[in-house]
Amino acid sequence: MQTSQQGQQGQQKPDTETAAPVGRRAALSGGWPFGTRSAALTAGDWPRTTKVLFFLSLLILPLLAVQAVRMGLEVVHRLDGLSTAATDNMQWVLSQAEVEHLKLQSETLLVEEPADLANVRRQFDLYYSRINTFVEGPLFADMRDSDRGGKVLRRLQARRATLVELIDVPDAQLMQNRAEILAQLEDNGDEVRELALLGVSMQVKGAEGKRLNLFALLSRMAFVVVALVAALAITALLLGGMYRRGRDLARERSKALSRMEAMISSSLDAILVVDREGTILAFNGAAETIFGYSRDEAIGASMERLIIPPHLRAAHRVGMDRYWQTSEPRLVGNGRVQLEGLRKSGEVFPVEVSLSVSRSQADLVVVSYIRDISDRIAAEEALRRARDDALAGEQAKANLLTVMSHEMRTPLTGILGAVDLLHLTDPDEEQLRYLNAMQVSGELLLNHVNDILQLSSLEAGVASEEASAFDLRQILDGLIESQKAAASNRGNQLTLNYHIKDGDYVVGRMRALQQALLNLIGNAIKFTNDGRITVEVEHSASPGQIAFHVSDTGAGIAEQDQKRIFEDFITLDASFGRGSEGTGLGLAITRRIVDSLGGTITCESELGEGSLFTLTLPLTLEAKQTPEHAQDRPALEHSARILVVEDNDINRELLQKMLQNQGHQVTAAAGGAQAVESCRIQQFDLVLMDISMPEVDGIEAIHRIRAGQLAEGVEIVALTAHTGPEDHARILAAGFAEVATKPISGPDLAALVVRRAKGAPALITSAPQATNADPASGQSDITEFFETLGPERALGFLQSFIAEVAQFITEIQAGTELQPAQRKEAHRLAGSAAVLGLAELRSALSDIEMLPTDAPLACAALASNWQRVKPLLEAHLIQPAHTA
Amino acid sequence: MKRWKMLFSFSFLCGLLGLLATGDTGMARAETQPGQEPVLLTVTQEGGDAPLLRLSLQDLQGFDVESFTTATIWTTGPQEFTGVPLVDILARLQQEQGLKTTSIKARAVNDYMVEVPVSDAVEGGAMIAFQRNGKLMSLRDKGPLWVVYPYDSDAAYRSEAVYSRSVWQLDRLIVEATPQ
Repeated sequence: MQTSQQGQQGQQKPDTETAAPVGRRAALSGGWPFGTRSAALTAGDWPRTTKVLFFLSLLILPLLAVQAVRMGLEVVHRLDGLSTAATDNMQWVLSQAEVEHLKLQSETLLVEEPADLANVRRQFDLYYSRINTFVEGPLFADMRDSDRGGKVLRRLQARRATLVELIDVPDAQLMQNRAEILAQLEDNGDEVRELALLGVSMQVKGAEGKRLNLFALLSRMAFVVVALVAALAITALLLGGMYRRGRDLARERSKALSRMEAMISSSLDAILVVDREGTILAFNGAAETIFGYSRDEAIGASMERLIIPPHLRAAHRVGMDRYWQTSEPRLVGNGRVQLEGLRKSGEVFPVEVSLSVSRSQADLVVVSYIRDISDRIAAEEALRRARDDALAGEQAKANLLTVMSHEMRTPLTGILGAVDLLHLTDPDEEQLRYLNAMQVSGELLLNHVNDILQLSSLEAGVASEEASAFDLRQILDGLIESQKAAASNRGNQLTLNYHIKDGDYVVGRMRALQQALLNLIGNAIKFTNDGRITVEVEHSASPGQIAFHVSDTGAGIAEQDQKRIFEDFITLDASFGRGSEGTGLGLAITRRIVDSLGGTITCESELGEGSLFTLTLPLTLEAKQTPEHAQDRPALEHSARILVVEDNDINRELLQKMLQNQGHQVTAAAGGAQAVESCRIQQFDLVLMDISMPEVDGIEAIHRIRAGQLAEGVEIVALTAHTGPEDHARILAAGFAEVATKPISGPDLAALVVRRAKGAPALITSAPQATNADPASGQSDITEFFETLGPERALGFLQSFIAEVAQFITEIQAGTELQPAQRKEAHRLAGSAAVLGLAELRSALSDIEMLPTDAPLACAALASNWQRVKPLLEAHLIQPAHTA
Repeated sequence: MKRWKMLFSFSFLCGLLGLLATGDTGMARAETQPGQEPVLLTVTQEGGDAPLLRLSLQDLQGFDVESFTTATIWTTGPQEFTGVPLVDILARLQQEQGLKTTSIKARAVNDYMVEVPVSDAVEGGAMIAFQRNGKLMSLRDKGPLWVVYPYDSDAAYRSEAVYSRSVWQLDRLIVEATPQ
């Protein structure tokens, strides 16, 4: 009973176990429509389904196996039960009852004497015990409980009770009861038989039940085994599929790998793969070439020690540590970075590095792409050097031009002065012709030199003039007047058509405008013979602008040249420049001037017909200032208060005189310190200051004045013999309004005052205007010097100057080392030479002044120069012809 | 396949039962000695008539009597059996006769006879009971001697073979014994 109960439990258990996977499967399929079903439609999701199936079968297989084993055990147990059933030999017991019954019958029949009765009694006991077994034993419970069995057993028990009464009696009576006993046994025989038969049928029924039970169990087991085999088959199929897939993947992967290998090995950049510890994991062919290590040497080595130059190692370590700790890259993933690498030979070379981090699960590697850029860097360096050289060359050229022009201008001035003087010596006609030729050529040369000088100063960005109000009509009239002679020389007519009615005063940069127009008019004259040159002035179409048209009836310019004429040195072109003199810089300078004025210049021309140049400049009309107003003013009322700062006595006196002649109130200061003091005491309208002065020089003086706010609103103009653009820039940067070059002529000085003096009227005295007509006349500075100071005073200065220079040269030639006093004297004499326009002498004296203390004295340049200049000066002494 | 094996086992079992049933031929009689305690158990040598031991109830009670309680398939409810372990009988045989038993056959009053392996004669094994539930057993009550096993103590004792060795109305043990 107990075992069968266990069996029932065993059957129930599998049901609950199989329920679990079914439930789980349901849960999974419930999730599909939203999660992966759509994805499962694509071929790529095939493995996912497989995976699910695989895990399901993995889950089910053990369950099936357990179930199969359990059932197998049960079958074994049942079979065992058949061989050792708890039933005992029921049939034996039942049939034995009949046997005992028959034995009892025969014993009873065999009784002949009372001694035989013991056998009957014993046999009855045995029979009795048999029946007892049926009544008592649990084996026979089914039989007892069955309808037929119960009835038979009850009858047998009743008869046995009757037999007990017949047998358990004394022997004598038992002998008599024999017949009765036999009769009873006769009746009893059928019952015992029936009992035995009943046992057989029951046994058969029981056995059949067991058989059916076993059959059912075996069927179930067969089912489980079939399921197990099916599950195994599915698993095998899946495994096969997975194997195939794995093989395909492996093949794909090896293909990709070999492609990757090819890419890496053919890369021109070095590719290094490095792990977290900095150990090199991969090293391609390019890396071998670049760094000089073989792959075997590199792999497994520390990258830091191998390819990072020692001075970068610490930084590298810090960088990597920081990256591993914070994951914040500075180099990693930031594109290309320039660093330095180390070759096996120990050479450090520039590299371009790009790093990226590859993460696969817990594994982290850094992939470095390294390019050797030493060639590129070298090329860049060469290029830069070439450019710097070219720039320096340009600069040197500009400097050379400036210096050259300056050095050329001074002797040229001397020549022209001498020619002037020769004119006064009553030359005969032939001599006069030569003199004129000399003068014309000399002036032309001077023009060229001035052109170049102006170009270079424009190039250096120096456009020092500031806008001021001036009478446009007057300027133009003067300009036309000054060029009339040149025009008529070539048989040209020069006319001005002035169409501006509403006032003549405009605000702008007068000198620049003058220069530009002069260049255009000069060009027109140059390229026109026996023709007409017209200057037209009118309002431009756009407001606030005035257009200047300069037209001629000359040779004209071919169309293809029209664009080029504003470029530098363009006269080299035959069609344009041949037969005409000039540096070819005129139009280039004009263009630059116009540019700096914010205007435009255009050219229209036809070959053989003539040219038309149009300037359009922003010039605003100033209606307030009327000419009448200006004329009403007495000359003295316009006089300005001017401070002249100049350490050179002659120069100072010259300037003072010139300014006084022009009607101004002049205060003189002999040095920078004195100038500062003067400004402190007195108000000026203008300050003219020498730059090169001992102790406090011009630059220092202006700093002090500006710092002390001693001359607010007052402009300070620099006077210098230096004409290089760099000097100009330096001087203007110090705060000077403009730079005037020594020696300065009377008209220039007058214009300067008009331009710069505070509250000065724009009235130009008429007297100097006449002499101003030809700005490049080459008039000797000495002449002006005499005019200004008066012959006696000038002669006195000149005499002492000649004596002083001569003595200075003698002293220098005698001495070996420059004394401080001599240095001072050199400076003073240089200043005087500048006043007299003796630039070469000034330069020679300045050289001596600037000599280093321990340098050997060399006055060869000074002496030779003096030999040339001295006769010129002495000529002035004997020819007091300058008396106006 | 299993089914065939099962059927085979089944028929084999039936054959065995038939053999046992037909093997029941000779009838032995309990020998009583006049004037003495009736002998309940006679131990004889196989092939020889001379009894090795003749044990009356008193003799049996003279052994170290043991008892256990177990259910049987022939009785209702737990039964307490008291008697002499088979191993003690064999020990007595060795002790008195110097014989080592190699096989045992047990025979009942109705000449039922079965072989009891010597291996069953162990402590906690087969016992020759003379009392059930504290009372002597009559012939009508499967007495006077009954070979019983402690069926409840071990599943191995609940087998067909052991049940067939559980001879009731025992009167004779026929042993093969060799002198030592």
